[in-house]
Amino acid sequence: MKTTMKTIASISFTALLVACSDGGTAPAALDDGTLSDAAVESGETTVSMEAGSNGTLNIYSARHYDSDKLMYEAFEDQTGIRVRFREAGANQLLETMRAEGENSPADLIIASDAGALWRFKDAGLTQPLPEGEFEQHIPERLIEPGRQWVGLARRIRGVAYDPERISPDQVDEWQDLADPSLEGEICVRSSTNIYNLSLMAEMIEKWGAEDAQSWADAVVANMARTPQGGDTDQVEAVAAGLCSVAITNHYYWVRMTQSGSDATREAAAATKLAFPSFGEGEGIHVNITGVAMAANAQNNDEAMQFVDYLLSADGQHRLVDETKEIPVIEDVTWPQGLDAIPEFEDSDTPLDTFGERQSQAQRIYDEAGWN
Amino acid sequence: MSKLQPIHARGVTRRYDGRAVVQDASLTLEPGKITALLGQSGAGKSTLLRLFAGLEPLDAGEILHGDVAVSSLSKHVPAEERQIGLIFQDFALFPHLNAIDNVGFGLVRQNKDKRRETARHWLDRLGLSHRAKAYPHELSGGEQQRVSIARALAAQPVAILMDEPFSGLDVTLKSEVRRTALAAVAEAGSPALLVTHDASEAMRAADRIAVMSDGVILQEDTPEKLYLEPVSMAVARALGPLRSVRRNALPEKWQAKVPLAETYCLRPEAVRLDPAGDAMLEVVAAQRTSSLIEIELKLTETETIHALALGPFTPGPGDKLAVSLAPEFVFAAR
Amino acid sequence: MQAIKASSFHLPRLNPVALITLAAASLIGAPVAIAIFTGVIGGGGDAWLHIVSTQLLGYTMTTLAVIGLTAALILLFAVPTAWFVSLNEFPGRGFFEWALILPLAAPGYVLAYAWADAADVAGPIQSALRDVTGLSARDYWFPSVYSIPGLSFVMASALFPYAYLTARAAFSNLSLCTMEAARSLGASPRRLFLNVALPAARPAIFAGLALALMETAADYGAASYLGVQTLSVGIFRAWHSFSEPAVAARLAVLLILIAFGLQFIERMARGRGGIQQTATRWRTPRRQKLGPVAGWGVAIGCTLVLVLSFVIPVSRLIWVSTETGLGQGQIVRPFLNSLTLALAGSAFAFVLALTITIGARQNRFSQFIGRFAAGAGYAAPGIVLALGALFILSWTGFSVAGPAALIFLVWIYASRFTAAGAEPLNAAFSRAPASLGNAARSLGASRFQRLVRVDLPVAMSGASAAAIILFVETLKELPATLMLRPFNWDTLAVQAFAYASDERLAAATLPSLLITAAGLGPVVLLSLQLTRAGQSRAAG
Repeated sequence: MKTTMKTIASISFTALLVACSDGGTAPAALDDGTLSDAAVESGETTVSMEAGSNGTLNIYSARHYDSDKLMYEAFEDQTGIRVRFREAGANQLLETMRAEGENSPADLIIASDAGALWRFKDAGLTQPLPEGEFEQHIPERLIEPGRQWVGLARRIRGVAYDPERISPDQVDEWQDLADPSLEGEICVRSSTNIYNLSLMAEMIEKWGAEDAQSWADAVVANMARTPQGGDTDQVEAVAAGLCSVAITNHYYWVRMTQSGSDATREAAAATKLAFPSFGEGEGIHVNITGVAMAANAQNNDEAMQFVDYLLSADGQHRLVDETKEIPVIEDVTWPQGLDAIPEFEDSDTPLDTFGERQSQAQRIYDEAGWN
Repeated sequence: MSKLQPIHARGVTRRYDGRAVVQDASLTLEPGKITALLGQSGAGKSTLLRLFAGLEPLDAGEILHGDVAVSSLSKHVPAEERQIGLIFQDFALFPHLNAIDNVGFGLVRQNKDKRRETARHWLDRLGLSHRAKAYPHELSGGEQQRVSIARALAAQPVAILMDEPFSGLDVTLKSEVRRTALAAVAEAGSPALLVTHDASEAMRAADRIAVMSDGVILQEDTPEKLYLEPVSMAVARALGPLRSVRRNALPEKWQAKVPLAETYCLRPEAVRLDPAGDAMLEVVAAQRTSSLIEIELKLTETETIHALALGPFTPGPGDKLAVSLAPEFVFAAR
Repeated sequence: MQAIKASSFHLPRLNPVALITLAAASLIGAPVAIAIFTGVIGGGGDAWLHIVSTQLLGYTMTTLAVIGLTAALILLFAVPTAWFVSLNEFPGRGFFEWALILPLAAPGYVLAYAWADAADVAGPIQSALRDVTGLSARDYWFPSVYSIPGLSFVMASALFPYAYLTARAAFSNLSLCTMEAARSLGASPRRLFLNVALPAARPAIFAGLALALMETAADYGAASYLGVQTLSVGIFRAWHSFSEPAVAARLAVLLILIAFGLQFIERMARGRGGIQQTATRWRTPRRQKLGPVAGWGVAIGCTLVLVLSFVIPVSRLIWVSTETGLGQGQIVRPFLNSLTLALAGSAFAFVLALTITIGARQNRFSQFIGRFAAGAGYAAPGIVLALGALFILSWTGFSVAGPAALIFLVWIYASRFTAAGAEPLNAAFSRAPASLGNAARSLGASRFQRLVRVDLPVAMSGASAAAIILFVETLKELPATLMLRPFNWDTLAVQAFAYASDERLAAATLPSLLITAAGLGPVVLLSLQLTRAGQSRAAG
């Protein structure tokens, strides 16, 4: 017993030491390749051993996917640049950067909503990306006009519906969800969620605040239950028969179709995905996962190398294969399961609107009693 | 420091929040003698003990070991340097040490073997050699208190101070533990102080008794003298039961035997059954309490008096008994 | 009373022990103090006014409702089970005696993930209900986990063992004489329980309950997942959505006030009577054998508590995890990270707990300052402490990404949990005779010797319980870890939270189960140790 405890203690202590030296290279370029690298190699990451060291890149990411770690490692393999990352919610990263001020080690910021990227920009935490080749391969709308951020992948907010109770033309446009015929049929998550806020922001932009407000009022009246849980829970509620229309991001539904659980796959199979438009020819609600250069970035070249990598075929695959987002580069093949989504027509709303109108959107939801 | 020096308290006073809990107390603890400090709870006994021990500073007076002052207004030797043995009601054994290590605790200046030997000797002296390895929670109350006494004595203290040491023990254990413990204390020869609220314990165990009340030592003397010649009614009451009687209620012949006073306090022994007695009194009630019989006798319609008897027969109510008075057990109340 | 007064007067004003205690208390209290200070002087402007006028009442009432409901549920779970387990013999008693502590290993947020999934309209429970009854999802009402009662249930499940432990100890220490006296006076078992045992055990039960309720008030993970707008969630929102750390700090003051209120109530309950236990003369009463019907009834009741609070949620997680297969994610490293942080954090917290516990024995100033700082730290949610740490980091110019963050994190753990560790150490002293210190002085031990030869060893008899509780608590900590961990550092708690928030329950199950498993070992150890201690006391 005693020996075991000792062993555990010593292992963990070593881990602590390793971790300390791992994170401890604040002005990274200076002492890199000496002590700190040795510590890292002896510790956990084997990648940088083969790659040697050509610099370091510090990423603040609001994503949390195992595939991202593989993506960082692949990039390290290719370039020899060591990637250090910190994952947390977008708001939390933003507040952390604010608290860090000029000391912030962040070079790149990756966030999963245009509204979130806008908040970084608005807080003065970003700087323009250098001009580059990437601009030619990406739809213009997915690049911030001042290149404060660039889109990496697309995500669509739509609905999953029960085809036995609902006809496709009942969910053709967002306005349809306000129809009294859907009373007690709609399941949706809380309004504080950023996906709902960005959706409402675009509605305000397209329809004006007044119509957006009546839409929110009507949807609240049509809800089958008070908002609770995430998007997946709403789709499952449709499958369970509690409601017949669930507002969801496309990738949650796609992931359900690919799930390892039979019950989850069956639930997805019992529903159909639709992308309601904001009106005839107005397009649908397309959001992005994007990347921005931190205002105090120290490793700008490494950062741009990584942005280029993310927009390469390999980077795009690694970025979206697990998340089931839609690549932004035209000729990249889509991840498995994504072929099941309907065709769509993008909208022309500037993506920054999602951020600019965020607080107005929240007020409208609050007014409607959409908790 | 020779352990055969007396310990003196001279005019010591201790105040809490301006109120004197010990007031101008003087007391000498003689080597080889056990002095009992007797009084009700709140009388200031434990505080006086703590002053002797150096656990508290005093506000007036001084305490001397032999002729060396250890406590005064200008000087305070801390408790840990006084070599005083303390015994507590809750035994205060170190829960993380077994019996022999508890006893050896104060012997840090000795080497390990010597310490062990000394500790074993004192455990043996208190009849506990077979419990040397036991931890406090495995010992009975009596055993715990004997370990704590062994611990105090092993350190060869200049004085032993005991604060209600036996009142935590079961009645059946008490007298046995008390006998063993006090014999060892007396044998050690250090001056000893026994704080107690139990008069019979004080008289049984102590060579001298100091009676304390409201922070003041009322009288200090041998048990015998105190019992028979108390300086005040409070002292008399502290040492045993009393019954007060008006002079007029006493039989006339008895009134002549006692000094003139309005009322008297009588110990039960003052009235004895005596076939040649000079008074006949009627029994109101009688009750055997093991070896003694307590008898309540009628003096007047409203007043009664107590008597003790040894005889084999317990009288019944209404019996008339011949009794006489032993005036040495009658105190004139002032 | 006299003794404390006299010695505090007697000691020089700033002796080394008091200074060390003061230093320890400052370490514990600094993050809270800084966060609050910034909140009070930082103003908050419009956002503060907006929150005061629209949200504050709601946050506060919700928090109070959750605390109240959780308290009721904890008492319901903990007191009857503790009573029967300590004083009656029934089928499975020996098993329940230690097994009822197990839920302590599972963090509240993990139970929240599991129950939210299991009790969802599409989850196994409701599906089975529909299959059996033939009803459709619209035809019946089913309680929602995403609610104040749901959150309360989850928190009570995770935390009732605190009250169970203290209640069990109190019931087993009941005087045989008291119990038999009551019985001889014709008290029925019911009256015995309500009029004799319960009042006697009340201070102990309240102590455990207060600990559990402060944890409840500070919880972020479960409340935010279940969408219940408690003050703790409000603090996160004020900071993260309104970008107003000062407002967050102000809300935190309110939360800390609530926690101090809980402590005050506990003190009141403790102050009014209850048994003063002297170690030597209490004996555990013989357990009364229950009749077959009552015995099996009690066994079923205990099973129900254990199944609802632990077995169902954990089995659901195991089921989901095996059904979908293991992800390709790294799990070894977060596991090691969690263990490392928990070990370092609990070690530091332990040293601080020991310092303030021993300091408290020296004089009243040390006692007050130590308890106050530890109480404030325990009452503050992890996010507030992290906020304080971030302020310090930015003043001192350290990077949050560097090793400094790790040191700060360990510091925050200590600040947050020292109070929980001090409790068992204090209990060790309260079991020891009061006159120990004076006995040691009379035997010539100097202040330093008394510290080393008496106070430390005595406190250490509560050390393993303290160490285990600290380890399990730091292992489960979420919000501060979320904010302060350095680059490339994931812990199990952070992984579980991140996956679950992104609706990947399957991926969240493995880290969730691993936290529970890592905590389970120490909890079983603690449980067996306490159970054995109880038995040896009963036999002695």
